[in-house]
Amino acid sequence: MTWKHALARLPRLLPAAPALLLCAAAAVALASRDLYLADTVTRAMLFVLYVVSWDLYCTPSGDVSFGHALFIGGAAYAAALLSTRAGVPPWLSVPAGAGLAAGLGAVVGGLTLRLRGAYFAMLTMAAQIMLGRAVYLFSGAFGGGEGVIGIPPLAAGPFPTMAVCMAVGMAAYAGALAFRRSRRCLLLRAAGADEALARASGARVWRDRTAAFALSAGLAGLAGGLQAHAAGQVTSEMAGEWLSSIVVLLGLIGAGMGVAGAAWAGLGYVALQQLLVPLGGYDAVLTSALFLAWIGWTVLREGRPAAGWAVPHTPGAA
Amino acid sequence: MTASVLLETLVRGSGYALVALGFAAVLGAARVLNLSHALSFLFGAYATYAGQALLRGALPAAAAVAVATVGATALAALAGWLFFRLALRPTLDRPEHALVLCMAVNVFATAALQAALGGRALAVPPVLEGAVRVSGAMLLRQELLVIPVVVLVFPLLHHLLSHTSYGRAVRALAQNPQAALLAGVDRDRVLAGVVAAAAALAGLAGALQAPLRVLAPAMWLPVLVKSFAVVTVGGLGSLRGALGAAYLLAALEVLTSHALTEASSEFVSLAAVVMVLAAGAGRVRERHAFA
Repeated sequence: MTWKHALARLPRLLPAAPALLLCAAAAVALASRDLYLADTVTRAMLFVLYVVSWDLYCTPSGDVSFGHALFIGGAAYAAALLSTRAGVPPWLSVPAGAGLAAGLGAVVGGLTLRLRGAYFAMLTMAAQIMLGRAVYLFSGAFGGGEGVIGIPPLAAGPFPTMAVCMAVGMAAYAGALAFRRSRRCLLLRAAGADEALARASGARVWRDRTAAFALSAGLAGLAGGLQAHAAGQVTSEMAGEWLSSIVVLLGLIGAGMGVAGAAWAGLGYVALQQLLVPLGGYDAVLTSALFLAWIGWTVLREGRPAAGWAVPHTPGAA
Repeated sequence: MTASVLLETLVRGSGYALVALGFAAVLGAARVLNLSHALSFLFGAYATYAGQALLRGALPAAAAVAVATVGATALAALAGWLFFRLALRPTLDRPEHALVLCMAVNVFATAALQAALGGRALAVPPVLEGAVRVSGAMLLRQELLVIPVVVLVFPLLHHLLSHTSYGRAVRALAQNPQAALLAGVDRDRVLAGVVAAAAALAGLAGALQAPLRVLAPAMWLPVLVKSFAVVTVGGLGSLRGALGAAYLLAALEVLTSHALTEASSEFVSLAAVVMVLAAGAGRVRERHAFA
C-alpha cells in the first residue's frame, strides 16, 4: 500500500478517533494511577453516550427530542432504586434501567412519531418535566432534591469502574456506528427527507421510527444507569431541563459529522467543563454563550444548523 | 366551593391566556414556533423586580410595582421586536432553524440569570394589597388583577385583527403568505409588530405573576409547554380557541389542586399536556389560522 492509499483511507478511520482518544486517556490514567483523570474519563465516556444516543435517532430522522434527560434520568433512578431498595446487583439493574428507558422511548415514539416535528419535540420536553416534578412530588421514593444515595458501585474502586464504563461504552459506540451504516438508518434518513416517497418504497416508517427511538432511549438509559452506579448517587439534575438542553445543543453541533461528531461534541463539552472550573458559577454562562454563538453563526450565516441535519415538521410550515 | 373553583380557574386561565394568545398569534402569522416566547414571561417578571427595586425609594411600594409593570411590558415588547429583527426574521423561511436558535437563546438566558442571581429567592411586593374570601377560599387581590386585563386585551386584539388594515395584513400573511406578499404586505414590518405585541402580552403576564411567586430562572419552561398545549388544543392562530383551552387547562389544575395538592396539580396538568400533544389535536386544526 502506498502512502497515498494510506492517506486516502484516513477519513474512514475518523469515526474511531474519539474512541481512540478516550482509550489513550484511560491508559494514561491507569499508568499514572491518576484518580481524577480516571473519574474524568468515566464521565466523558458516559457523556459521549448521552450525545451519541440523542444523535442515533434525531440526526437521521430530523426530529428533535427536547427531553432526553427523561431517559437518562429515568434509567438512572430505576437502576438506583432497584439497587438500593431491592438489592439488585449492578449487572442487572443497569440493563433493567436501559430496558425501562427503551420501553419509555417506544411509548413516547409510538404516540407521537406519526405526527413528529414540533409535537414530538414538545411532548418529549413535557414528559421530561413530568419526571423532574415527580422526583419532588414523590420524594419518598425518589429522594427529592437530594436524590438517591448509597448506590452500590459498578466495581471495586475507580479504575475498575472506569474499565467497566469504557468497555460498555465502547461496545455501545461501536453499535451506534454500525446502526448509522445500517439499512434501517438509511430508511430513517429517507423517511426524514421524504416520508411519502419512503412509504411508497415500502418502508414501514412509523414502526422503524419507533424502534429507532426506543433504541436511542435505551442507549441513553444504559449511560444513565452506569452513571448512577459510577457516581454512587442520582440527583434531580440527571432528570433536569439543563441536561436535556445541553444534549440537544451538543447533538446539533455534532450532527454534521455523524456519530463521531456527536462523540467529539460530548468530549469537547467535558473538556470545556474542566477548563472552565476556575470560573465557578459562570462556566454555564460561557458554555451556553459558546453554544449560542456556534448555532447562531451556523444558522444565520450558513442557513442551516448543521450539515446532514434534516428538516423537522413545524405546525403551519408551508 | 364552586364559586371559588370558578374564580381560581378564571385567575389561572387568564394568566395562561395572556401568554398563549401571543404564542398562537406568532405561530399563526409567522408560522414559526417561537420557543423563546416564554422568555418574555421571564423577562417581564424579572424586569418588574428590577424596576420596583430602582423606584422603591422614590415611590410608594405599590406605585413602584405598578410603574415597573408598565415599564416591563414596554421593555418586553422592545425585546420581542429586537429578537424578531435579529433572530426570527433571518429564519422565517426555515422555521426548524428558528426552533434550534430559540432553544440556544433560552439556555443562555437561563444560565446568565442563574449566574447573575444565584440561588437567591426574589420577591416582588403586590400592586394591590389584601385578599378576598370567596366560598371559604382566600384569593389575593393581586391574583384577580389579571382577569380585567384579559377582559380588556382580548376584545382589543379581536378588534385589531378583524377591523383594521394591520389586522387584515396579519390574517393575510397567516392564510396565504405568497398572496399577501404579492398584494404588497410588508411581511417584516407586520410580523415584527405581531412578535412585539406577543412579547408584551407575555411580559405583562410575567409582571403580574411576579408578586405571586418566587422568581426562578427556569420558570419559563412549564409556561412554554403549557402554552404550546393550549395552542394545540385551541388551534393554530385561533385566539378564541387559545382562550378557551387556557381556561380548560386552568380548570383541570384547579380541580386537581382542590382534590389533591397544588404540587400534584402541575403534574396532572403536564400529564394532560402529554396526552393532548400525543393526540396532536392542533394538527387537525392547523388550517383554521385566524379564520
